[in-house]
Amino acid sequence: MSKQAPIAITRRAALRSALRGTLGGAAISVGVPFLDLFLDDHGEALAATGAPLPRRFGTWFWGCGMNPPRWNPTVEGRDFALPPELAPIAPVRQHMSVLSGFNVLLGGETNFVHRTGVIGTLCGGAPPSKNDNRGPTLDVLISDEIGGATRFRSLEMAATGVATDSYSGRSEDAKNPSETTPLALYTRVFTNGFADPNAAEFTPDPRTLLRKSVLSAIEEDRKRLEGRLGTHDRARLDEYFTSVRQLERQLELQLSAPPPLEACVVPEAPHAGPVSRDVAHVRENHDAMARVLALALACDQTRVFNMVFSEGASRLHLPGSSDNHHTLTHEEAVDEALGYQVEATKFVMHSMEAWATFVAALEAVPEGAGTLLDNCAVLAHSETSDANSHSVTGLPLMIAGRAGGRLRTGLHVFGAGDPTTRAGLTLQQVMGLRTSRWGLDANATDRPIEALLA
Amino acid sequence: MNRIRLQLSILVSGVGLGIGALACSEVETLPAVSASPSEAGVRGFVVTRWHEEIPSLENAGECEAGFNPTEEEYFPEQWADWLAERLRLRDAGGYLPWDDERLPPDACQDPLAQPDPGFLTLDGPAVVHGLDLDGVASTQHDSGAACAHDDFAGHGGATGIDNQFWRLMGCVRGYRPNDLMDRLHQAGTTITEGGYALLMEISGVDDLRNDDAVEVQLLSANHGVTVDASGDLMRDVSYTAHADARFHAPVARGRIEDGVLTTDPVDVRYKVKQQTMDNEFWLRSARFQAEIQEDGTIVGLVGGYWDVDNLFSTLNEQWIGKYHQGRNAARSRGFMCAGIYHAMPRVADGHPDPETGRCTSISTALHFRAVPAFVIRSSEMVASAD
Amino acid sequence: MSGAIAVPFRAPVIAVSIAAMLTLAAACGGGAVDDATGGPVAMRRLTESQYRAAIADVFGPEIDVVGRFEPDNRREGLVAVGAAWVSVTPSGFEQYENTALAIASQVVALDARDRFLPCAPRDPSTADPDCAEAILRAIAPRLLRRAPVESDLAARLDVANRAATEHADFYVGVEVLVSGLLVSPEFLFRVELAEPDPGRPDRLRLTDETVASRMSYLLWNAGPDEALLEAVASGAMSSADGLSAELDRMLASPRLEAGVRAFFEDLFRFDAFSSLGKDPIRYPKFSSEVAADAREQTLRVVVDHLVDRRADYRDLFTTPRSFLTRRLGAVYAVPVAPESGWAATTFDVGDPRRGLLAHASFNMLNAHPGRSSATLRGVFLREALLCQTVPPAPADVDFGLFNEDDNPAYKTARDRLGVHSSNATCRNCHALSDPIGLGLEVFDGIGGVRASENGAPIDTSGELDGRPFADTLELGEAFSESPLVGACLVENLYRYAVGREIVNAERRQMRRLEREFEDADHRLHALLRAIVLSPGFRTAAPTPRDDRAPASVASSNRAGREAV
Repeated sequence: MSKQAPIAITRRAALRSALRGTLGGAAISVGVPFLDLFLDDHGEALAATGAPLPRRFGTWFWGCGMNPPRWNPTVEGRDFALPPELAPIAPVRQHMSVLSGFNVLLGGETNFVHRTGVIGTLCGGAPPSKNDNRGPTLDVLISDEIGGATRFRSLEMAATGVATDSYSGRSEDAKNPSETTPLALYTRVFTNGFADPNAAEFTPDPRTLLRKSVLSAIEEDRKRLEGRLGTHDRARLDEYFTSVRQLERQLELQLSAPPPLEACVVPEAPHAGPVSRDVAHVRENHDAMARVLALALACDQTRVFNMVFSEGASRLHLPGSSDNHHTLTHEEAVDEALGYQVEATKFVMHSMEAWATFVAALEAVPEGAGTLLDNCAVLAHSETSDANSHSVTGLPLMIAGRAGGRLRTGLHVFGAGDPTTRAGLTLQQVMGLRTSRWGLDANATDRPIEALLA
Repeated sequence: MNRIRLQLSILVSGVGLGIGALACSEVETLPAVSASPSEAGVRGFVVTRWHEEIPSLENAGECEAGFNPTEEEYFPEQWADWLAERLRLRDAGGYLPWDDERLPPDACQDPLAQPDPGFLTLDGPAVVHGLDLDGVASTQHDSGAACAHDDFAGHGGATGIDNQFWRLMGCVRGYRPNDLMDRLHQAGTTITEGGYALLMEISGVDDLRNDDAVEVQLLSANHGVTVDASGDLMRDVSYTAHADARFHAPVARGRIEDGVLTTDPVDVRYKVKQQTMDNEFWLRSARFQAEIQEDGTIVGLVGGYWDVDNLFSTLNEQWIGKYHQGRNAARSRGFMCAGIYHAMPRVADGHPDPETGRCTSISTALHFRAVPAFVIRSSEMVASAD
Repeated sequence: MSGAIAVPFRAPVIAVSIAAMLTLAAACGGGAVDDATGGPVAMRRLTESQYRAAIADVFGPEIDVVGRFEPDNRREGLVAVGAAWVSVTPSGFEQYENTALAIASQVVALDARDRFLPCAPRDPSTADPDCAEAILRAIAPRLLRRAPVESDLAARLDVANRAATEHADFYVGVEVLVSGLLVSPEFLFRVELAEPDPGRPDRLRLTDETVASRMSYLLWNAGPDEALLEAVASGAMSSADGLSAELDRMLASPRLEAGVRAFFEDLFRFDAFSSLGKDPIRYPKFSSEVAADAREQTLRVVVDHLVDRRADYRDLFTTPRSFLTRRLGAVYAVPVAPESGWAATTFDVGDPRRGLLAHASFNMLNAHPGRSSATLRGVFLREALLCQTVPPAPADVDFGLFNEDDNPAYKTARDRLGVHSSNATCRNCHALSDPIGLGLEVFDGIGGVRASENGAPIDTSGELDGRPFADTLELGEAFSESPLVGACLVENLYRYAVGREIVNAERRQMRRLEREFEDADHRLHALLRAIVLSPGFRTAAPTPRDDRAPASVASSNRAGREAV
């Protein structure tokens, strides 16, 4: 791949001067002008074989947001102080950027609590009803583009252990179910059809050809059925066949030896522990899943992934407590001295700690001249900022990884009320999609976040 | 208040106990039985704690002559030989039993097979939990009566506490505070892993705080306890009474005063099955003194007398497969069977034999705790012969 | 191509799309019709239990169906409706293929093949087209739920025979045959087709195969059996008598229990059991076995009441009869005699455990891990049993008014929730749910009975749509007397049967079904019969020209059902 031409950064000086404002009571001021910042290398990372390393994309979701005055940084640019709720990311802050002040613009639609925020960010617009997302999620757009080269189009997992805790799918009715335990994730990826890229010998599984012939018969069904179905069913049949094709591609890949990958190390099967929404279990399972996922990426089993740490309206709870994160955000009194809900905020801290662990897990895998994380772009997001008011204003977003040199990290960018779709557009571009415009209605945008583009 | 004798809460006719252990097995073909939680005045309990008193270190009394030796300490050469051979065999995949001829004869199986090597009892004072069973604050010197013994002091200034079991075991290492038996009691595995739960039923209760006439029965269940997610015994569980009514004690009269239950003495037989043991325990003239708490838990003491022969057998009748483990148990706990066998009649203080006048039982005190449960009885239960 | 409307009499069968599943007015252009013309049809993905039933029916219960299934989607309160909207994701298809292969390999296993297959090959080391065809003709109609289409059979046999030849093993061909059927969209989806009604060419009726399939899934939660397929093939299903005969046969069968269970599992949202967790410190009696027993208890009670004893549906809310295991006995704090298995039980007069609402299943599902929830229980009962929509909380509600739970005066849930009634925004919706839920507050977060909370006695009095109740038992009576209860069952069972929302043109038919249900003293058999024989069950409505869904149609079906 050739080096990208430098991207013209259009500055919107007028907007910049208007950046001074308040968000959650904290004044935002512009720090060092962006142009003076030391820019990261543009360079492409090259693997040992000389082929470019693949870029990966992922989302990381946590429920019930944060406390804006304690999470939003106040200074833009590189040297911003970490507010209390971002303290856990300190060890990995140089690998990510923090976005604040970006909104899902309702444009007259209802704010469907614990749903509009996440669908707006991932699907490009405020949903008009509880069943309609008006489009596929961001990761599906990206995996449609890059997912065909790997065994799995994408991998979804939920640390809560519930398969329906997922924000990835072509529609609300077609959500990709999440793997529910570290062992299930491991089993799916590293057994039963997995070929170690670095194995000395490759023996194709004799059953692969048999499986291919089973799938070959399905095409006949398509011709016969399609003509008799209405639009609604045809679309669903389409999706079914897309899934069949994905498996066919997987089988095709399994017929030949995968190219060696220096970064690929096959992990041991994780220990099967308890699975529940007890936060201790969720943390444990999350960390184990992150480790398995990191190696799944290094072994190029997939290039798109979606982790749900806790679901929207998070029901994570502490043992012995009669409440969960969500009920606490609504029912716990604000501590008069401290100014926030003490118990509820514990879960925010858990979420941020888990996110830092996740980033560190990707960082821990050496790849090429750097690490796996260098070749990833991971969007961390939540369905709300202030959970008590279900606010979709100033949604917390973080983007970790350098996407093979295309993303700059270590920055805080303030959105000044822009739609969160700017993040989605940026990520699509960084992942190589030729998208110049994305989003619906008030959330439509053609402006990626220039500050993040290397 | 009137004394009410009520039938037990549930009668299961005909079919007997249990259906097959099939998942979603058939519904019982019975007329629907009433599921009222408690017939008026009948309350069931399952015992969560039941073990002998071991006083705390400062109260346990002194063993000036030291602690009882084990056979290994008493016959060092024979045991060294035997142990070496045992280890050698073990490494070769074999097993050397505890009654092998390299060792002196096994007095744990045949108590008279060895001469009496003597036994160290705890003769001095101690402060123990327990009850004054004979109504007398006695000492050896005081009474010229048969089975004379020294009582202990109790807590809170009480005197005349009868606990000859502590006299017997007080200088056995394994029975000392914080040692083997104490730790076993705290772990509670005898109950949580036991094959037969111990049940209690109080009937005729008009008022849990004050009632001058109630009836109390202790009985073994047909199966083990149910433990909840926290590791404690689950409350409100239904337990089936043991099929053999031999293990249903006679009903004892009792009364409740200011929330404290006391009962008249009755003999109690119950089953204990756990690890190496599957034995019947015989506690004679057992009586309760316990507090009934607001949440329904009962906590307190049981005072009674271990029958001497039964006590010897429950100490020694331990088996792994066909191999007798009594000697192993004695060694772990820290005594010699030949010694304790002869010591028991010496410390016995209850139930004198009408012919010889010698006492045949040893006073003791047990800590017990029980939580609410349901006792299910079948009308077909019969008592086996004694 | 949207479903064509004007079709000549001998047109091939077409399916009718549900492009605007949510649309009512557009689909039925206001014309007054005497009997319903039905609504749109859509293919419906098999649920996990339906998949398993299909395998057990065709190959026998010894086949082990291992593997995970794509989660179902609940829509408008029913998975049966959601089934018409879902497809198969890549991860889901991976699982289906995996499961199909595992089943196929069991079918051809050395020691089992004689049991499962109707013939043996002449030479097992190569293809045997005749035997392969015999096998296919034996199992394809049952799995695909329709008479064989020759071109389809030929294509499948071709693939199978080539595989047998390539692998020099006849049974590899059989594996390919069986797995191919099990990943076919016509197996995984219940395809529903309509044709012009010969008697009234402007109308569409569902094909006999589709009616048979619908009836079989409604009554038995399984595909049509041999007898039913035969009735379709012979044309018997086309006649009213033929349909009736099959209907009665299936209603009388012991397999009816499976169908009734499947419906109530869906209605009661029991799929939530798979992710149910309770805090072990607050509820040490809870375990996954207790949860499984609670689920089974409710289904047993329902089946016993409605199927075995053919009793009045409304009496479920006051029935003293139940079934318990010892594990449930510990939760309910009642004695249970048998050491294992189920005991038929009667709760005494005055025992709050009487009636369906007292079941631990509902009370543990609609609660939090660490406490009960009057609101969740109230909302569930309103929606599932009274068919009333409770709007969700508005996004911008200010909870600042209510964050006072360190107030020692708020000991019970009633105290805490009572604050809602002081605020107009909250009052309207909470008035729908809370009084019901508060009537059940004697049941803690796992369904155990309690008399007090934090030392304060629990007051379970309230009002259900104007009908006051003094305690939990009277709440059950209020439900059994509510005119909404029977109608709601009719609506839900009908939606479950047809896999979609009710269309405007069916309103009169629905009223008729409700009256018939009442006249039959709310007996389930009568309702099932009436639904199968109703025109809406066996007909379809053409699609509107405009395929796009209008914008705001979220609860349009519930119009007229929403509480004021």
